[in-house]
Amino acid sequence: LATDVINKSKLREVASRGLSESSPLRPLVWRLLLEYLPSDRREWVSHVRCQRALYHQFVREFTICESGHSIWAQADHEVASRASVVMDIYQGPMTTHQSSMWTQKQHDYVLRKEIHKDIMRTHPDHHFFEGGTLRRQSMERILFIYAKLNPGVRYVQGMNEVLGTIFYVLASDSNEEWGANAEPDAFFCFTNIMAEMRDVYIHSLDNSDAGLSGKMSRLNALLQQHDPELWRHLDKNQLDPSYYSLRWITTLLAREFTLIDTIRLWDTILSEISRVDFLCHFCLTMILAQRETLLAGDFSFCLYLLQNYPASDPNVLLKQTHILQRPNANDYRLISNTWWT
Amino acid sequence: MPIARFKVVLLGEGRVGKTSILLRYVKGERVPAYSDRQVSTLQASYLDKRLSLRAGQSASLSIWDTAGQERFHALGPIYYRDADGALLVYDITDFESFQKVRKWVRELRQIVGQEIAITIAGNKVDLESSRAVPEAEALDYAASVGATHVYTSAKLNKGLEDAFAELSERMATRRNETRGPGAAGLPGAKRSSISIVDDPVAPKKKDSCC
Repeated sequence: LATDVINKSKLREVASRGLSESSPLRPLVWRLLLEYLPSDRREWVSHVRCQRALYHQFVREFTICESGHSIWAQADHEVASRASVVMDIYQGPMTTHQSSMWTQKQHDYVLRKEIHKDIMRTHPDHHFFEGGTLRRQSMERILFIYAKLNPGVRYVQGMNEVLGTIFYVLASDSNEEWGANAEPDAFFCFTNIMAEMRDVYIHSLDNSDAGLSGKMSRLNALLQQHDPELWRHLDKNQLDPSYYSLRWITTLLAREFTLIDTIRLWDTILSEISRVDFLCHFCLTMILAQRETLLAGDFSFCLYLLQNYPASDPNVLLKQTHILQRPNANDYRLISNTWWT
Repeated sequence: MPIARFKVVLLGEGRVGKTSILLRYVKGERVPAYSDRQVSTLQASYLDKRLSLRAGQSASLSIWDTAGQERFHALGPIYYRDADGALLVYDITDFESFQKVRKWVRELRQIVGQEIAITIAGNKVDLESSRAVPEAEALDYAASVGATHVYTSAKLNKGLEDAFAELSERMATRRNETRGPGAAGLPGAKRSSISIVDDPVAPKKKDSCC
């Protein structure tokens, strides 16, 4: 990291092994892995200046109303009552312009409310989010602006969890200046990760290979290939993979482990060239790690276990995943003999 | 007497309290601390609950909790297709969430038909002072679609036992009606349902009659 031009593949290799729990380098490393910062350090100052200015322009464009106030400055009920006042005024025939303005306002209000509800319950028990009104506002703004810029994707539940992990890491930066810019920087990091992930959030792609069902089928196929016995058992018990893997895939596992463990996991996931493929293999490892317990369980037991995944050391699961990804690893016993008995 | 098994699905807009209702009803006071900020449900989950019906019969409910957001509705049918009952939840402080209930009723009637027993639950009655859904409107609507209307508070554990008990009674009644006299073993019942079994064009033995 000290060199002028950072070697990204070397960086990936090191980061993939995991940074220490409170490494001061993580916010910087994640900005690099998520392609927000260019490899050449000398470009950083001007690059971040440009990007942050661009973000603030989005904020002005999308979240400041005619009166010059932020749309977040008004309490919810005010917006609602104001909206109904506007409705009353425009009872008469509306011009096309007025009508589209009004529809826009209504849509923005619904969108904002939807995001607000979920941000209020993103890691609700974590002190970082619990007490941080300003932090939550930052996250709401990021998701709102993302939705406005990407109307085809808009906002989907689960994005709040993905953003939550990124925002937590960037806002916890020990460098004050970088930490203070967590909002614009997290916006771009989030946008970049969504470039890869958004297909699973788009309803119309659900049944394509790129979409959500495609990813879940991929996991199902991997399980069938690696552990036919377990696959048959789950299949016989009618445990559809969508019952447990939907959340794993859409949130990049942000809801299955403690925040600290999720971050450790993401060090590796973000370092992968093919993140989604790695994610599928990691999910497979999670299932295999519980194989004996699952084989002894019925539908409701298995569903509960996979939806409330037992506390596990992410380092162990990650190592197993890397073994599974080797070309000759087509047998669960290979893994079980190496890592667990 | 054998245990009657019913499948119940919880439907409604995001953050109206579906998960809290399920956890509170199934786990009761064992829920360590009720949370106003239950994390959002992204995939359906399910819990079992045993209860006794009025006729002395035992019932086992498989209750499915579903994701509220529109995006995940496409997955809805796999949960409610074979459901015996549905609890449609809205938040009494949020009018839009009540509008969503109408949508769910239409969808259920269209896809599952009339057989499914529906209860509409106005949740969060602990926030009565911020009510946004007029009581008369909710009650009239429920009556117009043949649903029972109840008020609940997952936070205060109010109304949940009654809501599920009443829904279970209706599901049991409906099952007895649809299974007809064959299942109940009552003599002198409607002949029409028996003639269906005897119908020469449908010689296949029906499981439900055994």
